[in-house]
Amino acid sequence: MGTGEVRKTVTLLAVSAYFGVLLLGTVGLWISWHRAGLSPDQPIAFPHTIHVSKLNLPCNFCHIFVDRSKHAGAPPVEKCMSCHRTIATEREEIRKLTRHYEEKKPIEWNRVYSLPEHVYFSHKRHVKAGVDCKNCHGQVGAMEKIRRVSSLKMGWCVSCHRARGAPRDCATCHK
Amino acid sequence: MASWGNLQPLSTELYTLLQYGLFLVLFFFLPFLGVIIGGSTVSLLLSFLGKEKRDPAYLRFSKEMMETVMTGKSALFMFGLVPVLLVWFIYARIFFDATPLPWHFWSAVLAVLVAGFALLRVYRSAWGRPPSPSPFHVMSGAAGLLALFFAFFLFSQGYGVLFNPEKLSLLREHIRFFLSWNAVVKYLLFLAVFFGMTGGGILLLGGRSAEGKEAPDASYRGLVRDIGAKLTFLATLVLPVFVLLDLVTLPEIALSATVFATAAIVLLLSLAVCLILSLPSGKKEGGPGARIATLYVLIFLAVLVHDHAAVGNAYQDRIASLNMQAKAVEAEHAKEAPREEPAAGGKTAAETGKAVFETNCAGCHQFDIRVVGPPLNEVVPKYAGDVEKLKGFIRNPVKVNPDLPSMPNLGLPEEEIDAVARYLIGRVKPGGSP
Repeated sequence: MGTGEVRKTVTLLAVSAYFGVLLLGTVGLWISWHRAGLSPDQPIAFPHTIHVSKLNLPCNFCHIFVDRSKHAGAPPVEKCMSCHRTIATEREEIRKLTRHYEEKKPIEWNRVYSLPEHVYFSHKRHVKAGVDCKNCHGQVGAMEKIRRVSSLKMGWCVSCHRARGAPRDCATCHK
Repeated sequence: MASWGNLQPLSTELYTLLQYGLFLVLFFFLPFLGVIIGGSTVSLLLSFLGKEKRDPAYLRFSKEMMETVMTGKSALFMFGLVPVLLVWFIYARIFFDATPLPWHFWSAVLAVLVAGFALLRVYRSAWGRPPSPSPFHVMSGAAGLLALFFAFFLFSQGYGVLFNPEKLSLLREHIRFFLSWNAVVKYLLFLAVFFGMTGGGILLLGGRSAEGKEAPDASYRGLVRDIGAKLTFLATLVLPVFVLLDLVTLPEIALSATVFATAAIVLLLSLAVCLILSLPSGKKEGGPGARIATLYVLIFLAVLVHDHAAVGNAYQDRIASLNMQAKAVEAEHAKEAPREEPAAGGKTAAETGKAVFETNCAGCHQFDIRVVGPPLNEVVPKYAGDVEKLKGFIRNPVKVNPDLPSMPNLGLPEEEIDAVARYLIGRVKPGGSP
């Protein structure tokens, strides 16, 4: 092998290694995005499309604590069963629901919206101030599978507080 | 600040069409601007080098480069300026309710572009007079090139706004919010594509004298090919770094599998370009020009598809919102139509009650069997003909039977509550049979 050829091989190897590392980086980002994702898989594929858009159920029909507590709350399984004892009982997802009910096992929904610990946020305050659910949660009625639509970054919070004339001193959110 | 506030929301179809329109405009505009930027940079660098090394081949290629990329005034206007106007228009429509970028932003982009093109034309004209352009011409060329870099920087920052709809409300507060790291990355990414494309173009066409006066000799062709190969190789090496940084800096809501997949495709295509350039050149006389140029067209397409997908993700919820608005308007029309009838057609109260029942109640209630709610033949008799009491329940339902789900508040208007309550009381006799 002549020096020219050695050099060619080294170049080829270096180029391939360089691109290999970058490709790995891309795949790594892809995987971490998929895991942390905006739209995690849920134990039961609950379609907001049917319940919100078709049946016109108001959000607080299921999320009953939204105007009373920090947390909007997921409905107790009984709430689902009150309709689904009779409706669509043959569907696989409803069967899953029924099993949870019969085995008295809560459904462990995966969180889609979560704020860091240093942020104090209360649903009650925002609902009482007349902020529409879709301002932060988007067109939930159009989502077959729930998906996060806002960054939940501080700039996003502040721009809305500013626009609505809500308090903006640090202690409002960082208690 | 120009107000777009009075523009009506778009239909979803028009919204999608505008997005495709935008990327079609970019498909023509960016390569056009790209080769002007890339070509002028190469030409200016070569004219410096040529003077220092006293190598006429450098100067000759510098001249050829400028003559190829710097087209006539009408082409500059059509492909260099009109697209900016189109993008301005598309933005104004896409952000119908957001007042994102004021007219002076777009005017600044256009003004700097015009200045850049004009200065570069001065530089180009200098090549008509031998032996080489004067320092004045070179300076005006450099100034023109800087102007183009700056105009494209501004344009990229405006382009970056598309990827982060949350910025729109901030932009109303202060124009400086249009600056973003993601847009800086996109600027550098596109510059890398521009230089890669220019290099590919040099490999494909370079060394063939435009005027065909002097047959290019082998050493000149070798020099040109060497410059093209080096330029493409370097640009293609840095390009993937910006692709990765783009993924890091894009807002989360703009990401999707397509966005990642297209990024990976750009990386693979770049790898192919680098491998072709570092492999021993084949026996073919043509060299790798055609393959590199084709790969660069694919890279550019993949970058555009990548961006298009990201914008689509970022605006998914906005588009869904438009859809819902359209549906709500439709439903409103559908509701209004029967309401108008009693005045015109003399619909009886019973008919209205029946219509309200069928639209709002029949989904959960039947008279004889339980559906979601109880059979009406069982529960309505409990009101013993008291219309007001039944109206009170419909107005504000409370749970009666713990085995059944609570009825949602339907928020019906008072006259509909009245009509449906009368209809039910009238239909279900206190005895229990309808």
